[in-house]
Amino acid sequence: MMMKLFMPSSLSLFMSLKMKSLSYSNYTSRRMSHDILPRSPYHVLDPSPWPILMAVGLWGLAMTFICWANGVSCNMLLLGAGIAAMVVYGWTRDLVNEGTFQGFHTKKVQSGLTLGFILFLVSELMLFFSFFWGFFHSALSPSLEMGCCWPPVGIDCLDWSKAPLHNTALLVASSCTVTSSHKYLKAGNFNSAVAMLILTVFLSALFVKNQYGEYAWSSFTIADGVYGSCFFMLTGLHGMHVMGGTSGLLYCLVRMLARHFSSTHHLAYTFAIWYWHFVDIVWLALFFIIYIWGS
Amino acid sequence: MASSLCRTLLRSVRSPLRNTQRLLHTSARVSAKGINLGGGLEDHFKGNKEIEGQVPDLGGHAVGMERYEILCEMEGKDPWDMKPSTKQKGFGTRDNPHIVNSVYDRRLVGCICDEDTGQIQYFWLYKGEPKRCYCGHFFKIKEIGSSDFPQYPRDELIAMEQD
Repeated sequence: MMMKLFMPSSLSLFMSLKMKSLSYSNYTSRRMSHDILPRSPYHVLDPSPWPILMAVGLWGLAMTFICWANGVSCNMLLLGAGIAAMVVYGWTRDLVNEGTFQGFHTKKVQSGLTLGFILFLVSELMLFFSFFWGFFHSALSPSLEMGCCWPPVGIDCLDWSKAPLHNTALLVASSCTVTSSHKYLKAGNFNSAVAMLILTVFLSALFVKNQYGEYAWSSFTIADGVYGSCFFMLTGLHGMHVMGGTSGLLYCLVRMLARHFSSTHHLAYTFAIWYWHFVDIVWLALFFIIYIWGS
Repeated sequence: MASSLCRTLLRSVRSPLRNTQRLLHTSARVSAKGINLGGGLEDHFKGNKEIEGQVPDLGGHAVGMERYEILCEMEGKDPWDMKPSTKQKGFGTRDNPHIVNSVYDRRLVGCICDEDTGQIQYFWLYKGEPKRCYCGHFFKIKEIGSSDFPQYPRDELIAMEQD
């Protein structure tokens, strides 16, 4: 899927005509806009088709879900998901090209990207915060319908000292290994960094396998009252975040093997590690609040 | 799509370090013939080779604007000229306007009229007559050329074209 950026050539011809009217010094090229080397640390992007295509793809995805939920045939709309997947590939490819291979990611650009990712993490935190609120709303004052007690009458809670404790150990260990991988990368030791990252991904795969086993053998479902809803919404959302974080770490593993990272500039990896630590902290909150306190 | 992705990945794993000519789908030429570091900057990392099993440091890995920034900082030069210029005493009258350096024939000026002010007065300054801000200070453009910034990359191709 090599989607060429067909827009820049026409747009830049137009821009070069406009540029001729101003008297530029020999600093800048009179030709294409993308030939003009910027004298500021900011990255002025070339015209890109990805945002609008992503919007189209996400629309298709949303419509597919709505049609599926209402029983309407949604076969054609599934291509929205395909478009979204292709846009993710193309956009990420452009991002890697601009940052790693063309060097546009100066200190200022890096700090902007960092701020954006921190805001994204805060938004994810808010998402979990809202579900924890819902849990506390029901758990702190259990209603008459569930027997005025928490856990509600009839719910067989999972024993926290078995699989959940194992999961906690796995996630904390994976946080440690990913941190050590980061330290190896910063120190310059390539092979150890890769090995530790592979170990991290392996540990997270064990976690997902454990959770799947818990889900398959659980005595209650998401439909079992407010306990079931809270439990499966929180752990399910967390599981999706683990899978997303693992795919991010795998992406970083591939890029690390392709030598995209230097010992000081490896923003994608930094962000993946922050995300992983976030996932770990949320699991610890889940473990102590839902599994231990809530049972 | 998957096969082309695999091909790209395999190609990049096998290719040598810092092969910047690989992917030029999008914009600026930072490694094409003619674009170099302008002669004003010395590439301190030239000649460093990759050590097997070692992660490259920033000097061995950075390209383009990022590399230019790093090399400028190593030599103590200012890469972006982003610091605010201070108003000198005695300047600002019609006869002695503040000199504003500019590459083009116009530049945006932001006058901090007073240290404690909460607003910055912005206005376009054009080549020619001095312009007065609301606070009374005069500004005048002085056009500068690339010779004033020897560390900026120069496009040799443009120089060749102008001949």
